[in-house]
Amino acid sequence: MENLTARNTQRLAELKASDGDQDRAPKIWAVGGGKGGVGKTLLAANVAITLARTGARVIVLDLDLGGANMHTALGVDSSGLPSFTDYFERKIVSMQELARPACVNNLQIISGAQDSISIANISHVQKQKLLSKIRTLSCDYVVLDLGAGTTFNTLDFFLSADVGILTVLPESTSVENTYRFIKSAFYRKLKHVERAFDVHNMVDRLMERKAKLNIATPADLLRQLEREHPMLGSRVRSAIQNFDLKFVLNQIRTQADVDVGYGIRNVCRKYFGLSIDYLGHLEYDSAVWQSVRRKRPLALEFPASPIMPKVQGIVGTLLKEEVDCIQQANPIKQQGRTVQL
Amino acid sequence: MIDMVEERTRTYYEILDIPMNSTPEAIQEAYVRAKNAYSPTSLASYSLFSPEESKQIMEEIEGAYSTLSDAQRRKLYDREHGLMVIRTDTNPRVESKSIRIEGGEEVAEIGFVDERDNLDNPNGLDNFDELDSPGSLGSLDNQLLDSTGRTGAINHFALHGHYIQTKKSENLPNFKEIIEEVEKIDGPLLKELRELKSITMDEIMEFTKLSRKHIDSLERDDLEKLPAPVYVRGFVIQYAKALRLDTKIVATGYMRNFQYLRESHGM
Repeated sequence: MENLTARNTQRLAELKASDGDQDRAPKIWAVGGGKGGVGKTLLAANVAITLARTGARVIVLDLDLGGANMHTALGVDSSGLPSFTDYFERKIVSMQELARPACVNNLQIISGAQDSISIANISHVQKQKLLSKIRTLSCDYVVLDLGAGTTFNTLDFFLSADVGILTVLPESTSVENTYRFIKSAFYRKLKHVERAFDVHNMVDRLMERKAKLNIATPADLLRQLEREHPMLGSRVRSAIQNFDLKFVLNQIRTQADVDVGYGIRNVCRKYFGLSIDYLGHLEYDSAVWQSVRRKRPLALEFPASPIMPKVQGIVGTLLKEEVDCIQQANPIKQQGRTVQL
Repeated sequence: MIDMVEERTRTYYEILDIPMNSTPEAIQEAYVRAKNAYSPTSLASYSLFSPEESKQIMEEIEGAYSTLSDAQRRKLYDREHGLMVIRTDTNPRVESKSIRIEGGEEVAEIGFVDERDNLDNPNGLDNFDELDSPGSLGSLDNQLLDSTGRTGAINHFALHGHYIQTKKSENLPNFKEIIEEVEKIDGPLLKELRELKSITMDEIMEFTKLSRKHIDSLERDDLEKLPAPVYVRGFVIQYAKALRLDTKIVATGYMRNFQYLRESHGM
């Protein structure tokens, strides 16, 4: 797995160098999921460390506003850290200044540890400000650690990313919340596109007739939308296609748990009409709570944990997809070169 | 990237969530997975589909499997639905395009062609050992298989979260030794092992997702009723998994005997 990561890191560096565009906007990877305690912070922290160790410049953004604890997961002392509150109150002018070095080279954190108690309820304008500035951060990757639930703020942060990763446990409560999250994100996306098209309540009007139109699933809704409003429908379809949705199954104990992931993939295809990548699974490992207790990241405290090779595999897969994506976008550049991945 | 899947054009391959060039073994595995995904107690589907809907989906899955598990019917289906795999290179492992033709229009998807995926290959049996390596489910699946059931990182084969455990744990013979040392592995032996482990017909049917008829034929070495060897091998692997036996030893042993029986019956 390490080879996969290293190979694609090198390949990415070559591609970016040949592009002459090293100052491009960072890629955003969001880690979310409907339920609390499913391992979002664990995954985000260790993905960020693994990514930083490839030499990429990474900033972790703790967007679990009002419930931030990424600083602890990364073993960063929270005293003296700047906050989003400082930024909104203009005590700090640029978002970049919020970033502080974290536990390994190339890794920085923008923490929510010192935020005021009202931070959980940021205004629409404040959210827009955050969203628009993330891509101006000077780094290669921004890893977003999101909170639980399906509030508009969380959904919008998630949908702003290039890659959205959901953490799921093989438990009924977590799977239910994951579906709720996907459903909410799906409708939120529809609303975004509606607004961009300056049409309002089209989806709501369809939903009012859902029994008559035989709309039982989001997939049915999209088909009906395409039938009645081809332009809007195709726009929605491409907007959804451009969003890269993945999930990781956490706290696996049995083969049946691993298979739940395949079940989720198949069911999402059937119900949502979306193909969602099963990015991998992480074993249940008691080293996780021990690392939490020691306030140190798993990657540094228990590097031999069976979870770490899986995290490296996940990062390797994501980097490989980025390489493939760049190559597909610039096929001419690849002519005459044998690309072995 | 997310690709949207059109319900009305869902092919049997999409129903089982597999690429069009899947090996028979991969089809069999996907079938078991799909049935698990929509069973009434499935974590993955209970909150989205009603029992009636699940039943309907199960029927679709059965329909898909009954066609795709039969090489002749599969070929016919592929042809009728304009599904075919076109190779772009003589290297059999090279990436190729699976092209779907609808009324002259190409609705193409990228796929992978694998040398094992030659349905016309009469020598398919010779490649059994190779078939044991993770199938053509794509790299992620390989990675997942590699890291779990195959290499034994997780050794529990479980059914809907409940382990199939031997009910009489004391005084049980050493199954590992038995299968390694017996002269031949045949149906009656499998049945005997199953009964020693106190696994009922219903339990093994539930775990393997095989019908009573198939399990019965398997346990009786019923050459007439069993399908082509490649599928039988898939059945045996599921059967061995349910009994928590070494799938490779059991499958190789059973297939050796099965081939011998076929030949001695002039089949």
